Order: sequence, then C-alpha cells, then structure tokens
Amino acid sequence: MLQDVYLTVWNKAERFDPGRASPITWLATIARNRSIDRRRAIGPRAFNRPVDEALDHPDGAPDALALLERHDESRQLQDCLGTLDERSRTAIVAAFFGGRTYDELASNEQVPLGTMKSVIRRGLIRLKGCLDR
Amino acid sequence: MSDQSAEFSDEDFLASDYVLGTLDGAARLKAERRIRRDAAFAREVADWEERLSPMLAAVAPQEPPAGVWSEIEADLARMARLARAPAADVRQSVSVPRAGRQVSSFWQWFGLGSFGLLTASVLALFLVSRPLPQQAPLTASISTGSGPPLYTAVVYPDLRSATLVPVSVGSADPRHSHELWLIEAEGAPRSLGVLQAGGALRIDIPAELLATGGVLAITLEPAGGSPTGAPTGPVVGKGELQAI
Repeated sequence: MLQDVYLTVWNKAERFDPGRASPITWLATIARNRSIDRRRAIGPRAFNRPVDEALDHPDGAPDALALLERHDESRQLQDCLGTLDERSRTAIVAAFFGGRTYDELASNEQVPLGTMKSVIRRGLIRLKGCLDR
Repeated sequence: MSDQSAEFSDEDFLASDYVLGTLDGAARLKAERRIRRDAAFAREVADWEERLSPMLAAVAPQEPPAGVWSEIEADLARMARLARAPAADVRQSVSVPRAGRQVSSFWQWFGLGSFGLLTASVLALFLVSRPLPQQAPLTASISTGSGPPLYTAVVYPDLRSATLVPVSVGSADPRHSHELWLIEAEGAPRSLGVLQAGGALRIDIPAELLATGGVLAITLEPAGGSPTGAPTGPVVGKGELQAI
C-alpha cells in the first residue's frame, strides 16, 4: 500500500500545485484516495473490522473533530463545520474519515439511502457557501 | 422518506461525493475517468479537495515497517537515473530561460523530480522513520532562482544527515565538481562535501551545523572540490532550509 501511494505520488507529481495545498496535505489526499480505491476494490465487508479498529470511535468523527482544533490550517474548515447542523456535520466527517459509501452510511444510521444523501449534500452546500466566502 | 433522493441529483454532486469518498466502486471509477477527460470537472474536484483536505490534519502519523525507507531510496536512485538520461548539461540548465522547449521539459522534470521526491521523502519521514525523528526535518529546493531546481534536499537534524535528490542536474562534467555549502546567518560558508554524480545522495552533516538552519548552496568547483576550503566558483543553485 505504501509503495502504491508512493508510485501514485510520483506519477502525479507534476500536477502538484503548491499554491493550493501543502505537500503533506497533498500527499495525504493521495494516500486517502488510494485507500478508498483499495477499500472499494476489496469490498466493504473485508474492511469493516480493520477500519473500525483503526478508529478509536466507530465513525471516527468526534475524535477527528477534536484533533482539528489543534491545527491552524483547518481552522476555517472547522469553523464552517461548526455552522452545520450536528447531523450533517457528523455524517460528513464520518464519511470523510470512514471511507464509507452512502449505502454503508445509510445502513449504519438505519435511514433510507436518500435521506443520508440529502443530509450530507445539504451539509456540503452549506460548507461550500461558508468556505468560499 | 426515500423520495428525498430526488432532492439532489447524483450527477451534480459527483465531484463533492468523490472527494468525500461516498461513491461506490463503479461511480468512483466513473468519476476518476471524468477527472482525466473533463478539465472543468477536474477543477471542481480539486476545489473540493482544497475545501475538505484540512481534515487530514487530524490524522495521526503511523509508524510503518522498518526498511521501507531504504527501498524507496533505491527506487529513487533508479528513477533518477532514468530521468537524467534526456536532461541537458548542468551549465545549460543553469542558463535556462532562453529555450522555451527546454524550460518546459525542465519544469516537467522539476515536477516529476522535485515534488515526487520531496513528497516521497516527506512520506518516508512521516510514515517510515524508525526511530521517529525528534526534530522536524528541513527541506530546501536548491535552484538557480529563475530556473528549475537542481536538487531537492531534505535534512534530518536528528540523523545528522541530508538526502539530496537530483532534479534537473545534467550529465556529469568531469572537469568540474558540484560542492555543497551551508551558509548560516553569520560566518563563512561551510563545505558539506562534493556531490557525486548519480542518484539520490546521502550526506552526513555535523550536528553543530544544523543548529540554526541556513541556506544550502551549490558552487561549481574544480574537479574534486574547492582547493581552498571556501567557494571559488560560481553559485549554480541555492535554497533556504525550511521546516516542512
């Protein structure tokens, strides 16, 4: 996996734009994308346990939010996440860190797929409005 | 409640859903294909990455298996050898701006080399180092100022060493050597050694030289290095050490 991330980094290096992201953020974005690709390729069940065990919290959200407070880079995002209703905020953070599909998120929360999509997408619209201001 | 799915179309949220990571395998592949084909969509994805990626700051570093760093280093050397083949002579690369085609290919190498290697080094540090360094590593992009970087340097204060990765350094000129110097705020430049042509270079640095950071510079010296212990030739590149 590490080698895979590294090769992806190598192949995409010319697309790195230092004006947009720090190298470490960019690297982490690639690592995250490759992890999601891998999780999708293997299938949800194979990864359910390791993902849950890797996160202190089943959905990772509260700890992740607490950690965000320590980083200046994420201050604006954190502030904007704070303007969302709690349900949207939790779902977005859980989706981002859990690498879960809408289907998985919906069945975890025991809500219809459409409801989960709406909760997250409404949050994303608000988040975009807040961050792009 | 399921009628809420009509509230938003999947298509309109493809970019944000892709970045958030909620797409299933097939939709994800579709989005990745579209990123390659559709520049407007790719920009939309990049915008969402920029919005959401600060969350990644919350991810705690993990300690990976030992030995990965040396494997990556070996890969770097191999790839740097391959990349160097079409590059021009060092002095040409120093006076870049005339030939547009050359510039763009240098920038391409710069992109391929500098950031690939920088991030690889960062990756290695972030994930690989055992034991984890207590002091943050420093990096410098050693460039001519206007031209592309010659080397990307990553200095590990704890390990008293630096890794220099050639980016747009041309083929070796047997009559001259590149010598690396550390220039601190005060005092004369201190030689860190002569750079050998080849792949990634590991250079030992005395601990006392790393106390204050400074600027790394490379000069063109007679073969074997400066005869006087001080720089005698032109500066072919320099870069300030910065915390990652």
